[in-house]
Amino acid sequence: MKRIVLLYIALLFPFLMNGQGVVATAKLDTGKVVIGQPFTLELTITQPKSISINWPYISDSIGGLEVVQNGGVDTMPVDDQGILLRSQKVTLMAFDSGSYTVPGFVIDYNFKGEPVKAYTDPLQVSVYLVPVDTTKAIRDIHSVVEVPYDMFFIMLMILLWLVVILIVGAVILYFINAKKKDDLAEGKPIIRKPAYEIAMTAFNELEQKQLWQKNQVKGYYSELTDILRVYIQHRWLLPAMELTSDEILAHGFIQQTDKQLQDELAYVLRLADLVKFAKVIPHNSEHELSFKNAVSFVAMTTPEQEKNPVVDETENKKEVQS
Amino acid sequence: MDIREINEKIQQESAFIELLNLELGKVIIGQKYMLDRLLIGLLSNGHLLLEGVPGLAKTLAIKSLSSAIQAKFSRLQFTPDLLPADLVGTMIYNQKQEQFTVRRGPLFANFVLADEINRAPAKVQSALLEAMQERQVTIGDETFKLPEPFLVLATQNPIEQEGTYPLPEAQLDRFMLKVTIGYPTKEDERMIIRQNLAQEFPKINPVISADTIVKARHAVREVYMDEKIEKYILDIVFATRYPKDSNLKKIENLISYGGSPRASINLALAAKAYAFIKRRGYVIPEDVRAICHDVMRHRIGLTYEAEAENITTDEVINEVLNIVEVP
Repeated sequence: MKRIVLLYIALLFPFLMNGQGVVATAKLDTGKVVIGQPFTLELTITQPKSISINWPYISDSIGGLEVVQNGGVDTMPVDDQGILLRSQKVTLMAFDSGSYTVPGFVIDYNFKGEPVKAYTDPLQVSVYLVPVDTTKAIRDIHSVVEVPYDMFFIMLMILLWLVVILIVGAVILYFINAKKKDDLAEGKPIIRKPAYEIAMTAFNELEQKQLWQKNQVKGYYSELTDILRVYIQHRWLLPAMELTSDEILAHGFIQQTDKQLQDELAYVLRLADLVKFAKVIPHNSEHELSFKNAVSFVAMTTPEQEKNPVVDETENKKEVQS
Repeated sequence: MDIREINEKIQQESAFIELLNLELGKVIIGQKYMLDRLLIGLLSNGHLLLEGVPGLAKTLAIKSLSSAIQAKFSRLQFTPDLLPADLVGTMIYNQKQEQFTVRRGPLFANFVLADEINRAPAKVQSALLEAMQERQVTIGDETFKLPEPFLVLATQNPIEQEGTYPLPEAQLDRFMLKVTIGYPTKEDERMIIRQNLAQEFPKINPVISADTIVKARHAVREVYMDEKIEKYILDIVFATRYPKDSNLKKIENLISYGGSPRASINLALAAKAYAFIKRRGYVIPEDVRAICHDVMRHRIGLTYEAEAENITTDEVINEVLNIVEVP
């Protein structure tokens, strides 16, 4: 009885008996497919570990079937006696109806120095067209599926946009304020009060200080010329604080004024230069004359409507605040 | 000294200016700006770097000035193969005396015209600038003092920069003034044509001596400068160094370095000399502004950004003068 069992095993698994055989099989997961439907070809080789085989090359198409995906070769041991099971799965597809034949694969290997070949069987697959039921009416393609509104998501988006708008607004405001500060820092003239009013207030303050009476002649002339310079700067938008006396006197706006006014201004500026830079101490009458000339220049070059303006207090407050 | 005394002294000491201008005016037509700067350099013991295209009477001006002052003039044409010994002189072996004797170079003159200074290599430029600074040269073992007055007028051509050796910033700083000379006016040029066609070249007569210049230099130092003017000078120089602190954000990115302390010293000295030639015993802001460009233009370094935008140092100085308050 024991002998009969061994004989059956020997007939069923001949490679186990010699221990050196290579068995190759190929199979498809289906024999019928619809056009464009993928199906799998599985190539399996059972071989002893000691034998080196040439794995068959899989090209882009096999027997008119397109290779869509070429999987790698997978190897796993079958038993402890060095028998390996190697397999590769290839996804195929046909784009035309008909009957296709997957040809058999040839596996080359050497056994005891002799070249030997193992073969797989050719496989058959039928490709059919999609059956169309002509009895039914023609339908349009499926319309776009609408996603239902999510109130939480909408609120979140609105909130996010509001935050973005607020940030952008804050950045713009920051730069506008910075620009304003720069303008102020660069000394650009911002006239808040009329030039005449500023000058007259300053003249009054200078008179009250009584600088030349206290022997502070240089300070007196410095302030006197500064008042005139600030006035000229406001009146004609000339950068008078950065101009020398000659440059101020030669300027077109000053040249357009009355000749007598020009002379009076020249008198004040030139005498002030002598006091400031050449230690000259003029006579007391010259101090008074300089003051008178300076006031006269401001008064005569100011339009009448500016001397008696209709002052809107709220307007002024707004301006100062801004 | 009282300001009136200073004023009177300056009036007296500067009397020769008119005489000198009249004499120079016989041959030099126009170019009043250049002549004034020449006098400023002469009176404040500083050297000048002139920049202008050829044919603007640079050589004629300095030659005429030396003739009018009765001083020795020499001209050096700077070339790439020039050697320091060609300038300062060298030791020559005297076979008769069987010893080395000193042969002084053309630098031993009152007025030296260094024509196209940027055509000579750095070692020659360095030798000249060292002599300018020290006012003495060493040949072999001996050191020789250069004559007084000693004024170097170097010229540079603003075009044809190929094959030149631009002066380094540190050496440029040694020139008191860098004067840019422009073309004469139409009227002046007409006079120049007529003078040349008529072949009438008036002879320059010596009207003053070198001693007068040395004396005038002392007088220039006595010109009164108020502390307000000192502050104004410092404000200008500091504005070139720290533009941001002077509300000059506009030019902050255009300046790589500002004026050195030598700029402040020379600005003060040149302002005094300018007041002197205007026959005034005190300095006014106009004097500072008049010579500010000439003193500062070679002492301010521009950034690549400024160069890319073709901004000149003169424009930067204009910005500074427009923002610094006049006392």
